[in-house]
Amino acid sequence: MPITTSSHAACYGIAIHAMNIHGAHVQWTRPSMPIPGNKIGRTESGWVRQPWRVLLQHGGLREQKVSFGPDKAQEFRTFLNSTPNQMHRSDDYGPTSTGLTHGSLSRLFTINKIDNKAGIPEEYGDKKYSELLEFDDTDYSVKWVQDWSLEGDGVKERIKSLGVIDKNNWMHNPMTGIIPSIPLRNRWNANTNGTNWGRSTPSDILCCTFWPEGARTYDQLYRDWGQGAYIKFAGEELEIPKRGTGKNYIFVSNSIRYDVNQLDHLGPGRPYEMKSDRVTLTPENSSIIIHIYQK
Amino acid sequence: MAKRIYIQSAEPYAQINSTCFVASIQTNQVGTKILQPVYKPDGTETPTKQNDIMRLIDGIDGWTSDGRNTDLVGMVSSTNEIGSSIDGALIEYERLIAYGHKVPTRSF
Repeated sequence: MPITTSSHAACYGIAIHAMNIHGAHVQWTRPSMPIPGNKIGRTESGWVRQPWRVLLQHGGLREQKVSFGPDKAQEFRTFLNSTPNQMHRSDDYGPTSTGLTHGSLSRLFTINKIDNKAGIPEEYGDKKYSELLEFDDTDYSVKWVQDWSLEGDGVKERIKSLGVIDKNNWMHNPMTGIIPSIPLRNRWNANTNGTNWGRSTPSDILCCTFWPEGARTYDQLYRDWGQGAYIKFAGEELEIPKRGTGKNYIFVSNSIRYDVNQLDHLGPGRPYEMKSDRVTLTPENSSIIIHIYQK
Repeated sequence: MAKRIYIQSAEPYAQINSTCFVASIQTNQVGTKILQPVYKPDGTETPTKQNDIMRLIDGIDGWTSDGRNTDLVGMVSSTNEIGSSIDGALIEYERLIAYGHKVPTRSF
C-alpha cells in the first residue's frame, strides 16, 4: 500500500492534501476533454487552464511522464519543438503573467539531459524540450525526472545559479496554471523505511490547490491574485515581506521557524495568513515557501 | 452549481457535404451516443481521429474577439475534474469542509 497516511486541510480557499508514500506509487492525471460546442484551443499545444495547483515534496525524486499518444502526434512534436522560455512565458493562458505557466518549480528541479543536473539554467531557456527531456517517438511520450533536494553538496549553489530565483530567493509562478489535455503520470518510489531515490528527509507529498473564495472566472484569479515562492536554504536567514494590497497566504513544504516578536513555526500541510509586514525566518531547515497574495 | 457536460468520445458518422459531416459523440451525462453536425473547411477530408473531430466541434466559440481563450476552454472530463477546473476546485473545497477538514485560521 503505497500511501500509508493522508490528511487534508482547507482554509482561505487553499486545499492541501498530504500523503505519505511508502513503496512505489503512481498517480495519473487523466486527459482533459472539451465541452460540446467548444474546443480545447487553437494553440495546438494541448494544454488547458486550471486553478493554481502545486505538488510539493521536501527532497526526493519524482518522475513525470506525458503520454501524448499517436492521436496527438501533432501536440507531441509541438511540445518537443518548444522551449522553456516559450512555455513559461506564453500569453496563451491568461491576460497577465501570473496565470499562464507550468509551475516554475519545474525549472529548479527537472534534471536536464544536456548536463544531467537538476534544474534548467537560464542559458537553456531557448533549448528545445527535445534536447532537454527524454522522449519516445514510438508511443509519443515525454518523460523527465525531478530532484527536489534543497540540501546536499552544491545544491544551494546550483539552484542559485539557474537564474530562476532572485537575490532574495524569490521566484514567480511556482503553482501550475495549466494542465495537459493528455495523460500525465507522476511516479515516486520509496523503500519500506520511507527513504527513496535520495530523499534525505522523508516527508509527505503535498497536493495544494488555490481558488479564491468568491471568484468565478480565471480573469478574476489572474487580475486579483499573484503567486510566488521563496526557496529557503538551511543555514540562512530569509526575510519575507508582505506583498500586494490585501490578503497574504503562505504554505510550506517543510517546517520553518520565524521570529516576529516571538519564535514560532510554520508546518507543512496547512495554509497560514501572513499579517506582519515583514517576517524573518531563522536559519534552521530548508523549505519551499509558497506565497499567494492579493494584488 | 451547474453540472458541466463533456465529450468523452467522438467518431465520424456520416458525410453531409463538402463543408459538413455528422459526428457520433458520447458525453458524460448521456449513456447513448448522439449525433451532432460538425462544420469543416471546404475541401478537407472528414476527420477520422477523435482529437481532430473535437477540434472542429465549434458551436459556441471558446475564444474572445481578441483571440484569447476563455473560461470555457479550461475544462476536463467530469470523472477527473477534481481540482483541475473551477467547478472541480470549488467542489473539492466544499467537500473538504463538509467532511470536517476545514482548519482554523492561523496568522503570523
